[in-house]
Amino acid sequence: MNLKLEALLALVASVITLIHLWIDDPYAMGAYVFVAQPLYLVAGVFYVTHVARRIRVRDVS
Amino acid sequence: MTSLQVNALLGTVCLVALVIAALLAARRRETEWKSLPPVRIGGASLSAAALYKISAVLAFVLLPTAAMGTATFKLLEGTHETPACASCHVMQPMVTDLHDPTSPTLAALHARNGWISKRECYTCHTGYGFAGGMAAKLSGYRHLVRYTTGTYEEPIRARTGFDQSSCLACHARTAAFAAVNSHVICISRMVTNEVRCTSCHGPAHPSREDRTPGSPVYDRLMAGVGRDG
Repeated sequence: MNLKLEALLALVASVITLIHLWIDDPYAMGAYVFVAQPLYLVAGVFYVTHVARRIRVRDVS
Repeated sequence: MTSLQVNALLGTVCLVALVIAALLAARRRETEWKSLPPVRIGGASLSAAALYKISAVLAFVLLPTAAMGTATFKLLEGTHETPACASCHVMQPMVTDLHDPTSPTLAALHARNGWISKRECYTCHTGYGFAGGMAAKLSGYRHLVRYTTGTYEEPIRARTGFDQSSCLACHARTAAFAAVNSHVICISRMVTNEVRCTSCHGPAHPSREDRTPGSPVYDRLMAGVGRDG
């Protein structure tokens, strides 16, 4: 399981979120809503997909 | 410390932990996990595979959820404050006028006389109850898209008419309101927004002409300077 892409997405989203948390600016707010939130979601979905694929390969059922 | 500052600190802690966990999770491939020695954390010994798995769950599921919780709190609570409205430059004329000690507009009168002394924009421009709050948030998302993509024109104009219930919620119960005949006659049409408060009282904010770029007072309003300088 290589999680480099997921980590990159989460890191970019974290930086945007940090800016939004500390700076009152509509562009920072827009970046959080329209960029960071989807990035977290994509990173999470990719990770869950990895895990699901590993479970299927191991046939733990 | 305000609740927003505490929230920002909490969010920062979550984000720092998220970055550490994400870097740890991405450091090695799964095939390498088994060859790594166990890790000692305090008195406990943890296999490397377990450590990487915990890091991954923290980095991609738990900590993003917590970070988004704090960021969304900032989004929802922070936008109640008038400076948050003023951070979009198209709102600056309204905020300048709001704090102008000589302005005759309804917004300025309400602020100056302490009738609405904080969260001025939010108090009047949000409907009452949960539905009103949700409608305001959804409208806020639309404003955010229009502002950040630059798909708007100055002077901005309200998409829908102002809901009179915001005025009536405070005024309709007062003796002064009931003592005016035209109020008693028009109240049913005021409730349905057929008759506007601003038809007799007002204006609520600087006029559209004043807010048009190039108008004699536009630069003053945008610079945050009142009528008396």
